[in-house]
Amino acid sequence: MHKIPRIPASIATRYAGKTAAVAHGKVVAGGRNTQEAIMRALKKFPKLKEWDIAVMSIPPRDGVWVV
Amino acid sequence: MPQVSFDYRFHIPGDDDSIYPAAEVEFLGDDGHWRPFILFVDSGAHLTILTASDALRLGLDIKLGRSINLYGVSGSVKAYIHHVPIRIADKQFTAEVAFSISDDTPRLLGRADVFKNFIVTFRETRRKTIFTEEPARSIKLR
Repeated sequence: MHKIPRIPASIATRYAGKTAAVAHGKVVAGGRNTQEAIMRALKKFPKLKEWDIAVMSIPPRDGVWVV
Repeated sequence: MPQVSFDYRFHIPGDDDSIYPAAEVEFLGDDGHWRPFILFVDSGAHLTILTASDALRLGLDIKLGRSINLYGVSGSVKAYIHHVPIRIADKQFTAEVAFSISDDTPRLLGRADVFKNFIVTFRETRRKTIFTEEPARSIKLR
């Protein structure tokens, strides 16, 4: 079973509709795009490699996501 | 049959409107490193969709791909299709991936090249998405 992490409310609110960075099975940072989210994650966990970090989209706050 | 399952992803605990099926998928970058992404599994989407900044992460020049427009109920957005090595549960193959020029486009795992490699089951009551590797000879469809 692969765990898909929950998004902390603070990041879900701040980066709704944007990007989250996932490390150690948890959402650790958010950003307007992949690079910003990963850069913030690497600042928190400098020993990580860029390719250790997963990125995911954060759903919007109001309503259901459709493309 | 090799199988992997993923919990549905929760947005905010207690908010049932924001529960989505998701899967961890890796794409091969131009430097030889596999990079993980967590994508919404969308059986209604033909293509897997990533963003422009994801293309940059993988070392792709987005505009070298085939230009298309992605249409959905909320409008359209321009994208470029690339063929990218992909890995799900240790199974590797190459998939058509559309890279949206917008970083606000949700990342989706679509059917093209993916669903023919797996039987994908949405176990709604248990909130799990299960990928069972093809060929699945033991399953008989009527």
